[in-house]
Amino acid sequence: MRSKAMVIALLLLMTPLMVFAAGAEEEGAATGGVPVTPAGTYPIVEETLEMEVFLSGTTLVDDFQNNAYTEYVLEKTGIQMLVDVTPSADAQQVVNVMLASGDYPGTFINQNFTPAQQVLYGEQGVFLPLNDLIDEYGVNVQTAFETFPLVRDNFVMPDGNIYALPDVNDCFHCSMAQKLWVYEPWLEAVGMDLPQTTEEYKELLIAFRDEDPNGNGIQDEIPLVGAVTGGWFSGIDGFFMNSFIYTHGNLQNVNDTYLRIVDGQIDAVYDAPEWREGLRYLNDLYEEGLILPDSFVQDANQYKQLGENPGDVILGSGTAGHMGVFVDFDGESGRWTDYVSIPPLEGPNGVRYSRFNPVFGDPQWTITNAEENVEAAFRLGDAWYDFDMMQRNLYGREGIEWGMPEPGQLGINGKPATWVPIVGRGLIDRTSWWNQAGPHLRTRDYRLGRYQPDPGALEVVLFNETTANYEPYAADGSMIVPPLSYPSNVAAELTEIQTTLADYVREMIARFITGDADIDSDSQWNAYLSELDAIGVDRMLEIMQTTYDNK
Amino acid sequence: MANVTTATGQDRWFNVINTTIVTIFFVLVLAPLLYVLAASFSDALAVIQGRVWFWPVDFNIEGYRAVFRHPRIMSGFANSFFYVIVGTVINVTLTVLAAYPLSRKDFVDRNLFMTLFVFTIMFNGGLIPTYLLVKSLGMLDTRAALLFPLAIGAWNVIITRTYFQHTIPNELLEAAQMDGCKDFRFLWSVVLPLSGPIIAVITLFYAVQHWNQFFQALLYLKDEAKYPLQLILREILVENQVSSQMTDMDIDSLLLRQQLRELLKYSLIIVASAPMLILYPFIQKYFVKGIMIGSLKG
Repeated sequence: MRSKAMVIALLLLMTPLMVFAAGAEEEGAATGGVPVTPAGTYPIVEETLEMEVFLSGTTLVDDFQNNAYTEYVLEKTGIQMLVDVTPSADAQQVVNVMLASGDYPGTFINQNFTPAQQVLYGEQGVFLPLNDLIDEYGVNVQTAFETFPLVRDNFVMPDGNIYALPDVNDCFHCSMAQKLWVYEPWLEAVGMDLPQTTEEYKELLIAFRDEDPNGNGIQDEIPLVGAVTGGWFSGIDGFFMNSFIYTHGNLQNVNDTYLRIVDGQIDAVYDAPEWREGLRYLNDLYEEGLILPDSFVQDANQYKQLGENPGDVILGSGTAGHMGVFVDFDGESGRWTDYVSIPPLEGPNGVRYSRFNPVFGDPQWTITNAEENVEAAFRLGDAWYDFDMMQRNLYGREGIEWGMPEPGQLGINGKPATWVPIVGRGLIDRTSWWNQAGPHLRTRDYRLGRYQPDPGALEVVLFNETTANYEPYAADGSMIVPPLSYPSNVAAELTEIQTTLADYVREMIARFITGDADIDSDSQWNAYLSELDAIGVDRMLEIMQTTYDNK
Repeated sequence: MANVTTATGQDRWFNVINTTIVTIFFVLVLAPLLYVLAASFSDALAVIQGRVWFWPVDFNIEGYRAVFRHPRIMSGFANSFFYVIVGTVINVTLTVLAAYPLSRKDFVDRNLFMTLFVFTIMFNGGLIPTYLLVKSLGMLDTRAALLFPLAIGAWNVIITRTYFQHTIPNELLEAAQMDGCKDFRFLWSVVLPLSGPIIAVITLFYAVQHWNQFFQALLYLKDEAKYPLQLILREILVENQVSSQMTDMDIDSLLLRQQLRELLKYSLIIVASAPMLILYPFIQKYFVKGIMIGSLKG
């Protein structure tokens, strides 16, 4: 029996796949590591076990090792974590050096390995496939996968293996973050209601421009503005194009692809006639002097300077995920409370979408072949999802930083609360939490179940605005292109096309809107289309479609 | 200018143009510094509103308070001073000990050793082999990893050697040897006292290098208690930039990071640059002299 364990331990070092097949036959506990208790029970190990884990730090936590959370994990699971920390800004570099030099820890906690990295290190046997462990021990992971099937699809790599545990964070208002905000007092000043169509919105902007809503006698009002760097969904195009064609893109968000799925086919929206109509609308606003030209060059700091303009308010409406992007949230001027959201506008052909960002999950917990106690390491990752573990990781100690609700306390969504913050997030002791590191299951109900007595709090405002103005128009999840992991023989070609296209499409959006290229000229539009062809839109769609179909 | 001579017409033109260009560069360099300095003493709202130029608006020192309250910044400060002081002492000692023999004409193999030094300027093992070396030496996650792997800079050895060659006359050595002086005594009692400028220069080079060191620390250190200031500075400024990719980030922690960054940004830059800015004028007078001698005759 002992020699068999030795053989298996050797195999573990070389071919993880085979080991798990063998391990499963023998009812676990035979991969050479210490035995673990049955799935879902605590502690995980009978005797205290030391385990090396690696994570990217944050300035909001002072010490991960001597930390109330680390101590709680030991108390609950019997595992003493030895934490290696690296600053998150350059973590990728450090991790690459570690992996290349063969000197790496047993578990990477929050590294967000890309599918390409997962497959690469999986093939080399560095990252262990977790499929069998999930079946055998992963009670919480299974729940996460069942609740979010899209996440499971996203985590199974092309080789059929799962190499990481998902962090699922279903943030309701972020899932419809492409928003437009307007300064409410000005609506009253010009005697208009919240606009519902593109035409009504244009009339509103003209009124902002001409009727001096801030009452200072100077025409200093900016009807519409955005920003292209920094910020959050602050590019101008994304919101308005959704009145013409479903647009999953934003000038400011460099990774946005402007792609959608129609009847199972991946489709680029920027060569459609409807797209041209949308640009024509924005070009019209621009020609009327309703869009601040700086919107196509400025960054979030300059955007905020306009919002917090000393003296009179000058910013009428702006695109952003929340108004804190362009006015100081909780700031002295108090202006942030005066901006309200405008729902997606109905276009001339009745098109009206909220951009929808489904939850795909972040890869967070990866176990390597340097770990001797694979089962224990996996069970620790699964324990991460437990409510009290998660809550202590996210918000600190029970009874000090947060507590359980009393009857009658309501959450952000108006339903009975699931937990109660005792101190503000900024006051959490910096050695008592891990500030979200690792995989969690934050469902919409959990997030909105936070006790919130103040109806003016930002989260409540965003919940209400999103429910009232964006949820009714949300695009269906089936229209969204999921993250795809490409075979290495086409990945480089695809990246090249995508990068070139991303630059060109963004450049042309700005040029058509500002009139630098004439949207009404058929020859210029056709030149634009043929340039798209020349860059290789069709080839890109073909590669993506094949991968999508094979999934 | 200490040695003013009567300027001819051409020289005067040269001076005018020269002064103009240097002034322009001076302003270009000074303006951002002044802005950061003014912003660090201003109210955050005034900075956001863009009302701050070169003079503090709504004077306040909240940013500095926050810097000195932040526990990691203070430990980073202490660590950085440790690395600068201990590291520079090691550097200067080793550099002098390497450069002096190489400057002696009676050291037979000096060309061979010089070639080996120069070789390291052009070629090195690269990132991963160096990492493996540090690991095998057992220095990972120790302060030694920031002190020893870069203990000697070949470039500094060269300028120090050149200085010794051209400022310490052979006659001094002969005279000393006549009196029975051994090499170490000669180095200590004669060479070093005559080499103030070059020692000041390499001290500054090494000290600035240690103060700005961040990549080695990033790579080799895992215990946050050992992090130098630059690593913490970078973490606060870079990590807390609000990224558009955070589609599922909590708004309140997002704002928290943003506020921390806005509050600390300018005061932290000032605090982190101050020690080197203060050190520089004291060494600057040697700086020009020392490096000129090294380069002109080398």
